[in-house]
Amino acid sequence: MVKKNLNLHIMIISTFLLFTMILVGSATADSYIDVPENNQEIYAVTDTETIKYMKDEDPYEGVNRKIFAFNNALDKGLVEPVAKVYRAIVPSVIRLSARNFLSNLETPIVLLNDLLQGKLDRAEITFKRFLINSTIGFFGIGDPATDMGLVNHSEDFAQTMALSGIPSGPYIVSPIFGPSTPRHLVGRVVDYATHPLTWYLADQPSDVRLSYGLTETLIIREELIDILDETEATSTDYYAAIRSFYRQRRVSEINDGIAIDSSGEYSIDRGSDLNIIF
Amino acid sequence: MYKKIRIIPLFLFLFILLYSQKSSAESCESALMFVNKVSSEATEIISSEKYTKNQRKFYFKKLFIDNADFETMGKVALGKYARKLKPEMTEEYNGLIKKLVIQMIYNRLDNEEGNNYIIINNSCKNKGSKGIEFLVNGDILGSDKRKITDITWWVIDKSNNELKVLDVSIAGISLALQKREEFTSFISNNKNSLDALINNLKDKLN
Repeated sequence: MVKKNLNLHIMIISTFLLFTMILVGSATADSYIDVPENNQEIYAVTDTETIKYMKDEDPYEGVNRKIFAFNNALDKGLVEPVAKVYRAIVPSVIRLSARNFLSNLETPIVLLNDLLQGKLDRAEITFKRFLINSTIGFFGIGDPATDMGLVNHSEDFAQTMALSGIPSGPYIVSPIFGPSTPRHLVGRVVDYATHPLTWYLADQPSDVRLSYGLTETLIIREELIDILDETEATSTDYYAAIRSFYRQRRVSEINDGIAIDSSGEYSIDRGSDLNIIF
Repeated sequence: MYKKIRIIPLFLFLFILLYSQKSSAESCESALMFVNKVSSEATEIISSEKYTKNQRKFYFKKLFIDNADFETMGKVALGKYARKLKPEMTEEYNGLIKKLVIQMIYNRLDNEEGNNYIIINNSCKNKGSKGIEFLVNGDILGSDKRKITDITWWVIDKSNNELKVLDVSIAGISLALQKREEFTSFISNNKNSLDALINNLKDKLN
């Protein structure tokens, strides 16, 4: 049974890697060595190297918008109403405990990628957080580690690939899963395949796996109720707003939350950086 | 004699270099103090129990009207379409941007559960090459003093040391960049019409 699951995981990873190589190779966003003259790009400076993403590069926008509309309809019709009921019924302290528990379960992935990226100080924090929250925090329901100054952070395999210089590829919207890039999709597959919880759930009945997946979706969606409602109410183009959210959030995560700051980058010293005239 | 003459420009250069660095540090310190003042007033207004919800919005709006550069913010949000903004549209557009941005920042700091936020701004660095822009970084803490997320303020020295907020990024998401992506996408999908954007903003905000 274990060998069968292992073969399945290897097959999934290989397929996605092949898909990614084809898609990334053909994407116009892959020309990061030759910077175009009308410079539409911005640069995020990391610890190791410069990463770029094309801020207006969405070559599959037509298809993306259709999939986005489908995802939005599914969200409005099913996921959001259930998340709102969950918020209305379940007290905030219990919802917080659920988020803590979920966050604690993600620790193996965060730790693995801290190590792969060579960030030993962050790996130490992750390890200590897991120990403290799993014991004193009662299996991750509490978060005493944060009170001790060990603040949570996110890492995943897509970020590891970004820091290795692998370009993200074009922006794509995947059905159900939403905003992504080929690199992020591959990263998610690798995270899924390497997570100990995946192996544990693989041996459980299908209703257990489904329950876990639905609960995780509900907890995440509830956290986003306010920000998504506000964004939709105030945006002139909701699709573009979500695209911008996703891109900026990923750059921030890859940069470990350090604000972008390069001379001439989004500076009003020269209006041409922002394509405006002063 | 000639050696002394050559040394003078060197000393002059060093003096200017040191003075500009000192000025830069002082300017950054001013920017940090400015942001601390604005953010503490903002959180005080939002968490105040003595004001009604409408009063809180009113005082919050006044705080940002006095301390933010909406005109530049509006141009940043238009991106390459800023040059298409005709003089007769500017006043209306700037008014809409003002209303929109204040509403967005207020909504992101306010919440249904009545949590009180504290913003602690702890570092500043220069941005750009002319020493008139600064990035002030800080943390947003909950009422339990736990860090919720990061906040970054883009501050500009307009003139005569008059500092203004140009952008606020919360959890790595910049308001200005978000609006820029939205507006440019909207305009390009509506036959490059700024009128369409302005009408859409009016509908959203009324």
